[in-house]
Amino acid sequence: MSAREGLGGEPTTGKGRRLVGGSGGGAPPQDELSGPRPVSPRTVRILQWAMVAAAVGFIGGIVVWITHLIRTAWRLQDVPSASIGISLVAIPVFLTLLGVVVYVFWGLLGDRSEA
Amino acid sequence: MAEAAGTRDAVLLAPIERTGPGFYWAVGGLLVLVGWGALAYWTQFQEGLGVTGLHQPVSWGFYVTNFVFFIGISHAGTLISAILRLSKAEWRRPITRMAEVITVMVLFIGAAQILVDLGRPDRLLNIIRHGRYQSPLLWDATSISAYLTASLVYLYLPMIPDIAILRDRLDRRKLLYSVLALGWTGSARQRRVLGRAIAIMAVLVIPIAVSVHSVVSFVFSMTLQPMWHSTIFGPYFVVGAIFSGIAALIVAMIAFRAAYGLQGYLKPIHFRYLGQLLLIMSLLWFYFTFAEYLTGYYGSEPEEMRVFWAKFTGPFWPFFWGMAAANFVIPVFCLVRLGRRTVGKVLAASLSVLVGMWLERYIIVVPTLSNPRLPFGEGLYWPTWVEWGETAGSFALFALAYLLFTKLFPVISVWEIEEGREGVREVEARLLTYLPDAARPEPAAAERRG
Amino acid sequence: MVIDLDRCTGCQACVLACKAENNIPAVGAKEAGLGRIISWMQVLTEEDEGHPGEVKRFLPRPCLQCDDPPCTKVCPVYATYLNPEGIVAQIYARCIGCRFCMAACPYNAKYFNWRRYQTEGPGQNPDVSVRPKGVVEKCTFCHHRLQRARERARSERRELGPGEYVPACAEACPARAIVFGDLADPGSEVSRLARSPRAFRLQEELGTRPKVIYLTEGEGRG
Repeated sequence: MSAREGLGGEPTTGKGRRLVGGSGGGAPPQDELSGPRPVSPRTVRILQWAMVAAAVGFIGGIVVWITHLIRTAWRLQDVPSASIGISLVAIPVFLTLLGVVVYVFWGLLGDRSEA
Repeated sequence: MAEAAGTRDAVLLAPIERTGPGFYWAVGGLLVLVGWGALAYWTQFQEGLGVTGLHQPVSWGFYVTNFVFFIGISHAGTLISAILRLSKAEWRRPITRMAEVITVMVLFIGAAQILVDLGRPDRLLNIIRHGRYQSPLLWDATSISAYLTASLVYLYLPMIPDIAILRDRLDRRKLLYSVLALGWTGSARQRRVLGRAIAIMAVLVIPIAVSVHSVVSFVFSMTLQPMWHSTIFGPYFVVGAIFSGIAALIVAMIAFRAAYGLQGYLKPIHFRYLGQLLLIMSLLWFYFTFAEYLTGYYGSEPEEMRVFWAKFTGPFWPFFWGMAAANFVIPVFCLVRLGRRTVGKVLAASLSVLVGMWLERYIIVVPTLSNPRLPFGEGLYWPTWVEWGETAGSFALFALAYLLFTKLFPVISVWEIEEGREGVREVEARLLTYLPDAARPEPAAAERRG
Repeated sequence: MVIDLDRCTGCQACVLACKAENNIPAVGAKEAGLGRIISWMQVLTEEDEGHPGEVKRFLPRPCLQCDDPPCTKVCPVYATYLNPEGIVAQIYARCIGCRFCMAACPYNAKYFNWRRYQTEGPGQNPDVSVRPKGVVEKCTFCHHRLQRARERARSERRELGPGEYVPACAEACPARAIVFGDLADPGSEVSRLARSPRAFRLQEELGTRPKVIYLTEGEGRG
């Protein structure tokens, strides 16, 4: 299998998660003929936690936003029923999504056993 | 599991490992179109929406048409992936990944169309700070956010085992794959968690998707304008979305099948089934359209009839009849007999449907605005190079994002193919449970019941 | 507001007065040809079906200031709303230019700044803000005149009397076809005219409850 092709000059993409050479602490020194730098498990962990935090932050932010819109409509007496009605559906949906994401992160990352 | 999958399905991982000149040509061409779109938008940002062909009364045109069109295509992922998963259809396995990617990419592009349409995009945050939930645009914002989040999750979860394969096999982008693989080892507990999560998402994503295109339709049907204020719009738009979504999926499948040599995985049988689904949606779309126009015509309300005749015989007749031909006549003609040349017929039908559905969105948006109730002159709409450029750039941006995705992740779900191979016995056992039990003696039971 | 169609001669003095009073930009011939004239007060013409090309009726159409406005329902950012005085207000600084209100208004009373048609300069009415590019604008019944009259009344420690505040179009009409006043006051002239047997509202069946009432032409005319 030709997995070793294309060493060096890793193509950049539009994706946000690309970090070139992200070895954190404790990476062994390299000589010129070895393969690419190994990934530090600590960096991986940090980034995964960042992902969870981003998900919680994003979905939490949306829930906060919807409540803010309800409060504004209430204050201005501008058809608050529309806001409340929509939030009754939207907020549970978003919370369910958050629940699924957190469940997956916990289920996969929490499991250190082998296949 | 990872090693066996890697060896047999090496062709699925090949685009990630190797890049040929074809890729660079494609990217270059797409970048030209994206550049045209960027230039068009920059011009509009500087000078205002005056550079488009919009005016009073036709104040919505290409951008809103594109918005509805792209959001419509996002239903590809939901239908194929979620519904086929829930109904345990085995033929979905090579298709689900491509469908899910379409949904995610096209939702971004669709949402961007509304941003492009704003007169003051610098005030975009006003929607967040001062949004009003009585406005259908806020329903759109909420619903599309929910759908985007859900489809991102629904794309990501089934990708995890594939990312683990890439993490173990490849040397490049190790950090990216290690982070995204979430420590996947294929253990029993992990597989249970993932299976459960995917099942929940498959159920959750369907009502969200239905709500998305319903609220997009409500942008029109909640006004009082002739031929917009129609109760059929919600289901009509959802049906149209699924219709155009399947067509887009088929086109994407055929394109990557040719580019990456996936003929072994995307076989004529898959296109046959999708073609049959496309045919059903074409008939369903025709039924909704017929009901809509018959109701308008029979009621004969004067303002509605002005719009009606503008579409049938007036300035919009080429677009209207072109839409009818492209959405109904051509697909039915291509798809009734899918015996031979399946892929070719299905491709022709899908391309026709994509054109036809874009025309359908145009025919919904513009003629109503062009025939206002009060005696203004009839407003004709001529789009400018800015609008054409923005449209071309949007399509190109979508294709570019999709192409880049296929360079990072497998476009066919490797582990699900492997699961399909390994699960043949289970599927056979399941099929047997559908049949009547062999143990009970049937004639005796029939006698006893009399 | 009551507009008597029997008196209207189609002279468009109301249009010009409105444009002068409210700093409405002249968009230029090219933009006008593209259909982008901004004209808060617009005189529509209904053609005679029996004699094509002949105008049967002139219809001055300001914003009809509906009591159940379809435009305010669909605004996503509170940029247009029904204020307590009954005027459908437009906040230029809030508008994001989505043009949903334009698509929703059955009277096409809303206009959009497709380009930056003007900047602040001499010769403009200082009481009326100059609209930037990319926002929607419409007739406000010269709300700035109401504010001025109210301030004057308050400084003189008295109530605002009838007839102290009148929009530019009503003031300018040489045939006195436009009558303005307080519809909530049953004794005012507008209320009396609104009860006339000649009175009708445009597109009344839509349920928008516009506050601009038209008086149809008398017998033997139109």
